[in-house]
Amino acid sequence: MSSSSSSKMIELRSSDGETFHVEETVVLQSETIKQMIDDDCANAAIPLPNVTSMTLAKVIEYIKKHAEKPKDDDDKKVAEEDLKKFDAEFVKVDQESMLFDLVRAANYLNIKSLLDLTCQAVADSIKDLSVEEVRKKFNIQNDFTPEEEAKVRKENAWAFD
Amino acid sequence: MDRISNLPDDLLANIISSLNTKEAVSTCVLSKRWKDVWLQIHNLDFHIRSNRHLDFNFIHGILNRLKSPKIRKFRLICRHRSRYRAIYDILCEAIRHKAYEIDFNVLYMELPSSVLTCDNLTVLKLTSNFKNIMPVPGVIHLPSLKSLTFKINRPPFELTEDLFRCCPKLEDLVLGGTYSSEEQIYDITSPSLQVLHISLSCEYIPYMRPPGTVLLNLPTIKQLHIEENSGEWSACYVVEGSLTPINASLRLGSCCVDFISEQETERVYVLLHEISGATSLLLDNATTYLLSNHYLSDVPTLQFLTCLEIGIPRLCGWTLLFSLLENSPVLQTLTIRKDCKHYASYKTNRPLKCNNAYLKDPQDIDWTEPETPPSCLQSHLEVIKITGSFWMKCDTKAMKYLLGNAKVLKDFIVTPGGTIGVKGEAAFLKDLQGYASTLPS
Repeated sequence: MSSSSSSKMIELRSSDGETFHVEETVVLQSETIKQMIDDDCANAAIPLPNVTSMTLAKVIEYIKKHAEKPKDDDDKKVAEEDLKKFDAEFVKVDQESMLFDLVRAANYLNIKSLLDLTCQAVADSIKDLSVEEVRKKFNIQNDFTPEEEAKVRKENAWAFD
Repeated sequence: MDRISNLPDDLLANIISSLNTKEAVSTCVLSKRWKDVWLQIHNLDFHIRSNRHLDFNFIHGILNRLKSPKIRKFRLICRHRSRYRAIYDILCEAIRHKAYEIDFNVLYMELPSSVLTCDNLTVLKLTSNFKNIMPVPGVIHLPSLKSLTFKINRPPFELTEDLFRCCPKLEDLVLGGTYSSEEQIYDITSPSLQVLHISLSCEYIPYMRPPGTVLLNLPTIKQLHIEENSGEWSACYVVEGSLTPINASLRLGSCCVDFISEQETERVYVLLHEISGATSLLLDNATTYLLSNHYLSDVPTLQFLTCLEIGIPRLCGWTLLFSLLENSPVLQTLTIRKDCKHYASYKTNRPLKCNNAYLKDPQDIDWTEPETPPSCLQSHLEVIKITGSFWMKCDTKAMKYLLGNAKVLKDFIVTPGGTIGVKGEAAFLKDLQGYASTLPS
């Protein structure tokens, strides 16, 4: 763990009122927060009305890990491997809803690598499933009438043959 | 509404952009919410198998219906024989839609010259037999290109001589495919290139004449990997300026050869000298075989080498390895790989298929203990790893010497190498453990 006490701390407040203290260098991975700091709006706690404390804790875990800097080239290789493992574990969440919350949070906070990672994780869980299986997995209600569905299938016939 | 359908359109489009296009489009029937989501995807990825009736109109149809005029990645894998003209049209479309990543893996390709003058292209992967460039470009200019995979069979001269020089930001190059004339020159002059993988083959080499030339002028190269797929001498490598790769690997020639010309072993030494500043080096067993068939006094000093991985073929290699150790004063990690599916017999120089029936264990090997152990054994070598199969008694002598003289060894790692092996191999490997003088048993 890096513990450079010289770095400035930023205070973040989640939608449910919990506050988190994160080093400025770490939090700059969020373009949204970076913009706020640049605009000098970060003197008090930054409110994040769209992110719950549970999601924010996960996001902070992610950006902290991704802020660690390898010392030299040898270290770099190990660190890259380590980071890959971390990412793979990170998206193995107990509840699917957490993954969607992370997608939203990554989008709102504008952390591109986290958005890519979480979107890819959702896509990976859809991949190779049939339409019916996807509906079942995510509890999607099919609100097409049989006629309507047949019409949509016909319009995009190529995707279904 | 369910959790996923509740996400805004752009996020759903982001998610399904990671799927292949067929899967992405098929989400349109999930529910009304999903009907038009796919129109916002920004990656296209088509896989077309060879046995399908081919109608490329659907690709044009999809391109026309997409809401965003710009796409990011465009991949097409098509194993279908005909219709290279149709693929040409699709490539033109990909460029027109400002794709910044293009990956085409097709049987035949007619290359639109617009691909070679595209401003925003950052990743270009082309794997194909070459047909034609239409029209022939006046200049090639790819100002944003960072990563290029060029596995084109029978490419024209104007491409191999000019293409790589015309990519001022190129960092990563994978060069493969075959070429057909000994006059062919691949000019890899790049002030920015960091990683280079080469695995070329020459389709036809005139008897006793060298194949085509690969010119390397790479002042910023960090990783250099050269491989010869067909097990033949597939290109001459000419280095201009100095090469200072950090990681390098050579997989050259084949140990299954009747006759090795001096020219052929010399060029491997020339390359070894060029990359002698590397900190990490890999030589496969075929390269070891070539290097072993030459005066070992030509082995360069590997001043910075900390990590060496070497393939040891049957009946040679140990002498070379010790010569390399002599010349590597700061070596820390040594990996030895026994992996000889083919090997040349020592006496007759005739290649034999490696079959267990042939595997008589020779008691003698052309290796004698050096008078003094290489200095890196005394001071730096901390890790020895051995892997692969066909470990024989004749390898024991060298291994015991190595382990016995490694005075600062911290770790000796044995990784079993697959299922085939020589009788008693497992016991032999286990036995070696005891010879490491500094390790607790």
